[in-house]
Amino acid sequence: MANDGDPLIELENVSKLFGATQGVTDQLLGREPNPVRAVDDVSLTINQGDIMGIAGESGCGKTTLGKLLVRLHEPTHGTIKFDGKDISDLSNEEESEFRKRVQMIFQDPFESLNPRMTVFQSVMEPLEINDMGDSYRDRRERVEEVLEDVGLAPAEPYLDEFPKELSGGERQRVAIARALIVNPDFVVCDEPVSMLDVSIRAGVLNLMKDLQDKYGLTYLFISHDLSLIGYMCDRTTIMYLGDVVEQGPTTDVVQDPKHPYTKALFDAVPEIDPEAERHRANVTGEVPNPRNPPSGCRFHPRCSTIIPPEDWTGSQEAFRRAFQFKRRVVAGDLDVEEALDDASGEPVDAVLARGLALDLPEEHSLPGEKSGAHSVDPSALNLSGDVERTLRNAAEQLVEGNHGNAKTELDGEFVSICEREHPDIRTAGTRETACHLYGVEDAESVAAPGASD
Amino acid sequence: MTLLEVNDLSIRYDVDDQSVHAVDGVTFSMDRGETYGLVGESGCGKTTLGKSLVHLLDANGRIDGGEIWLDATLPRWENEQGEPRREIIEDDQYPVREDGKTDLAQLDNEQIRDIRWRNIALIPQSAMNALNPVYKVGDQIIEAIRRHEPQTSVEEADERTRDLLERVGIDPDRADDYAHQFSGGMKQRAVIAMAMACNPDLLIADEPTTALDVIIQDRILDELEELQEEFDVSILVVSHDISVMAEICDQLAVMYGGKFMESGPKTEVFQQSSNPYTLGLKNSFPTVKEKQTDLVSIPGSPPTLLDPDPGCRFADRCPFEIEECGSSHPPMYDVSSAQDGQRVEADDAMTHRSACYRVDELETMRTEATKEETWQTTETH
Amino acid sequence: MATKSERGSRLESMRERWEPRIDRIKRGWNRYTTHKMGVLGLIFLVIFALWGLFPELFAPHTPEWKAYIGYENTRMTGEQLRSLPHPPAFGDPFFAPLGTNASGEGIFTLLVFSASNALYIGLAAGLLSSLVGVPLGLISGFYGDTWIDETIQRIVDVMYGLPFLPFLVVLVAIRGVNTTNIILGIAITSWLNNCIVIRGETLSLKERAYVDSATVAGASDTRIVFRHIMPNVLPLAFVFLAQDAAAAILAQASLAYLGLADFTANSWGIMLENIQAQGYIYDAPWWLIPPGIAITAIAAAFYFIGFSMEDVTNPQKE
Repeated sequence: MANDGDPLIELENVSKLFGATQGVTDQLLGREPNPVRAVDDVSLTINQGDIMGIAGESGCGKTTLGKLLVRLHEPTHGTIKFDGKDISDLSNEEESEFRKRVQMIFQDPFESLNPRMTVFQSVMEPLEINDMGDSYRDRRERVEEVLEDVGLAPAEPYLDEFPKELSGGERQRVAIARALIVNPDFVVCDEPVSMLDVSIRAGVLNLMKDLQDKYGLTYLFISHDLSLIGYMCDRTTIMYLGDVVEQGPTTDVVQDPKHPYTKALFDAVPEIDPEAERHRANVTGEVPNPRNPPSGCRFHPRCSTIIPPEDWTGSQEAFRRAFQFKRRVVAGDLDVEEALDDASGEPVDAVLARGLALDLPEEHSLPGEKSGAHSVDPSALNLSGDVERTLRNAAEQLVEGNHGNAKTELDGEFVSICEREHPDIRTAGTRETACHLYGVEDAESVAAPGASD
Repeated sequence: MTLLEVNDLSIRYDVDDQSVHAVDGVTFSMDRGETYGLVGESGCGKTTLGKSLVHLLDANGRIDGGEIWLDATLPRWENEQGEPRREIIEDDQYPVREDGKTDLAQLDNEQIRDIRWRNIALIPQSAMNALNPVYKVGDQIIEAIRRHEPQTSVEEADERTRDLLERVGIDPDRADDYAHQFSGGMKQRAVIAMAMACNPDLLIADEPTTALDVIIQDRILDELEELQEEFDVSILVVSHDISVMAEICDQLAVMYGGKFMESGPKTEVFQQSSNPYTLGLKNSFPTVKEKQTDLVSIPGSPPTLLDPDPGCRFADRCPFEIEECGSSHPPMYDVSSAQDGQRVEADDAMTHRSACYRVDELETMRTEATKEETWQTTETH
Repeated sequence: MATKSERGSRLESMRERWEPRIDRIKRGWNRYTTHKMGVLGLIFLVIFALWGLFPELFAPHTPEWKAYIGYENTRMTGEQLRSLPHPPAFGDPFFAPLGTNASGEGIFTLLVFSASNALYIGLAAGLLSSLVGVPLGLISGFYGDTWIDETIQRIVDVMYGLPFLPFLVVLVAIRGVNTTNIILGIAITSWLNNCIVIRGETLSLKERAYVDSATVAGASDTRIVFRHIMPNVLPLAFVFLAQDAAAAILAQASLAYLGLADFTANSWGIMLENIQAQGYIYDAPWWLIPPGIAITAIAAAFYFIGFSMEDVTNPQKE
């Protein structure tokens, strides 16, 4: 199914920043712009005849990426090539060509059709804009033909309807017809079925697959619904906070995900089989604010397999929690009063226990961590003596209210390469992934101290 | 112990001079501590059904018939043990039964307010938008507690609020924050905390995970499961996502056109589906893990429910339609008897039932439904 | 290719294009007539339009007519003069269904002959205001937050500072008291609101997916603004047109009342000014009331029509 066609779309180190410019007041006040890195240094290739899927949660940049490919946005850095030509650098004629060869289907079928234009007018619009078709008659015939191709047959009665008279599935088909009437080569589909009823989705998806054969199309399929991606796409890219974290043939990505985030995503997808064993994602927290992404690997604060330094002797679980402890102390997030309120026994113990606890689904938490107690017995973790001492000292400082000292205690401890260095895309099997867990191949730069495999 | 017993409930909306039969003659029951799911596409009546239990319908909606028996009593009718007083039960003008259950359908506006939040709480769709942006989140929960349990002092309510927030995994300090300072998942949890504030017997969750990302959805479902374990609260889940249902529900009902098409224990409904609509619905859900067969969609679109025709609501989209289907909407037949080839109406609302005249031909229907051609030969617009 | 089939197919394609449009106009009309206010407004407007176009048909006399003496060039007797303004008389001593004013002119006659003036001012000012305000609003909104938008909005801000009536007074005083200047003056101050609201609407509409879709299909900015966005702001533009027309009529009446009007024209405002200047306000209600009602009626007519049109052109409401 995955063609080895020629590359049709090539992105090289593409970034898109929003909010990089400032108003006059901000400039006067000397404030630094804090742009959102919606798409950050993404490199991607889409081959002819492929259906490439982009999946990720909200804020990951997939919609922005889609819009970059149809030139609704211009990239801030990097180049996008369509059929070998840089699309930011087109002559008028070339741009006109581009607009005929690249089209887009939007998420909301009601919004994507102009409410004051009939179906006929909406679908004919691209023909008129691009001056295609020999005469009114000719254009009308083409409109009817493409409407029948998308399943609205006979087309006659649909021509004079307004969007509000159509159902969601019909509207989306009209939108598809409008995209296809100029005979494009590449179509970006942004969540094309997420606003349709479940029983209608299959019809539209199957239609898209059929049309791919008939019109010789290449698709970019953007969705947050992983099961749809699994169904439709030959290749899949997973994005997180503007980064590409994993990329490869869909079957491989689904069955053997390499990146911890991808694993978490697929664990979280609910299963229809009621007797299936239920796995929950082993992930803490939520997607952070894209204006202030974490340093290094963007996913590291939530990751269960965060890489401990080489000299770490305890368990992975222990490191993860110690790392989180440090993070919370540094951010000032550790609520000492609550900890003292809730627990009995030594204050230092209480603070320690609370600081080491993580908010995880039951199957991944340690006893006592969930519901209510929010604390973990440090001895249940596999901590080395040194480590425990450092943590205790820090906890003591916190109890006495010396946040600054607590931070100093922990300074230099629990360092992870995941925090310090942003992982480049590297190959792991059939996939490309951005994770330090997979060593970079030979001649590439040696991983900094602390990387493990 | 049965918590909720719905008998032949019908709900109508009046539009101009016609009426929309949003829910038509629905019967089911829920036990304590159980999760019941209402699944179906848009317009099938599931949200209306959920909201009707606490009279939260739009202005032009009304309960047109049927009974909603809830195992609870209004405070004004209680004695010291919390049971309804003898004279209340005996007196016919009070909608209270021998076994102490109250018929919610008969309560007036003032009386139903006693039930809301204390016995039945609703987590609305897009719960994130249910939080008022100009008030602190904690204050809103305190208000909810004090409005429904007026004798609570502010300090008590405050303490309970912080406790609740902690139970759902939110740092109690955040009670002093405003809604916009919460992330999406946290808002959803805050709303769940608010719903649990008065320790209700039943939670109605209307599309609890629809607007959420998949990882947060995962956590919220986990959260609901835990809440159920800890508080022994029953949950009525309304959703169009059958995979969510498969995860958290014990019992399930598939709705279409305002009626139940199939209902029963989750495993049976999923693995031994006995209704053409359920079979069609399963076909249209892609799965991530299993080997992917082609998706098949059900041609046509859901009915309008405006003065509907007699006959099975699904008939004109159903590939197994026969003449009988046009006479009237089929009653709920017992599936286990159907497996033996008998068509018997189900007498127990909790067993596996299906509304289909051809329920005695299960084998054929199940095999045919998996084939794509079956669904394509149905003629629809 | 035979010419006959060409012609035939051209005829057919014309029919294909126009049939649905005619059908839509019919449907729009039906929707319109469900609004009683709109129908009432239309009736008023039609009456006034007829008065404006064919005054001789509706008025009993012409403005040259005077009581007692008719069209002769004679003078009235002292007694006759003292009887003016004369209350409604139906034949004896003359025919004046609404009476006369102090100069002996028939009120009803004057009313009818002044209709065209009111209509002209209302429509002209309204249209002028829209023709300036709507395109500027569209452009400003579409290029929102760029220098184009900033420039236009600064101009609007400055002009907001102009107080309406004093500005009119000054303009008219400088350039002369004629109808054109009055229309100009009114249009200059009323296009601002038009512009701002249309700009707001455009700002929100240009984020819609169908605008993105047109961009992706290759539409130029101009095409997007005028083919895609403008039809969607039309409902709003209609309301403004109606309001501006009504406001213009009222403004002109006020100006006339203040004495800043073209006295060579017949207008309702001038009739009011006359009665005030000549001191008969409390004495001749047949003179005072009709022009006032006429002004109100035409302003109201425009309002009613505007609201109904907004409803009709708004495809969402059905």
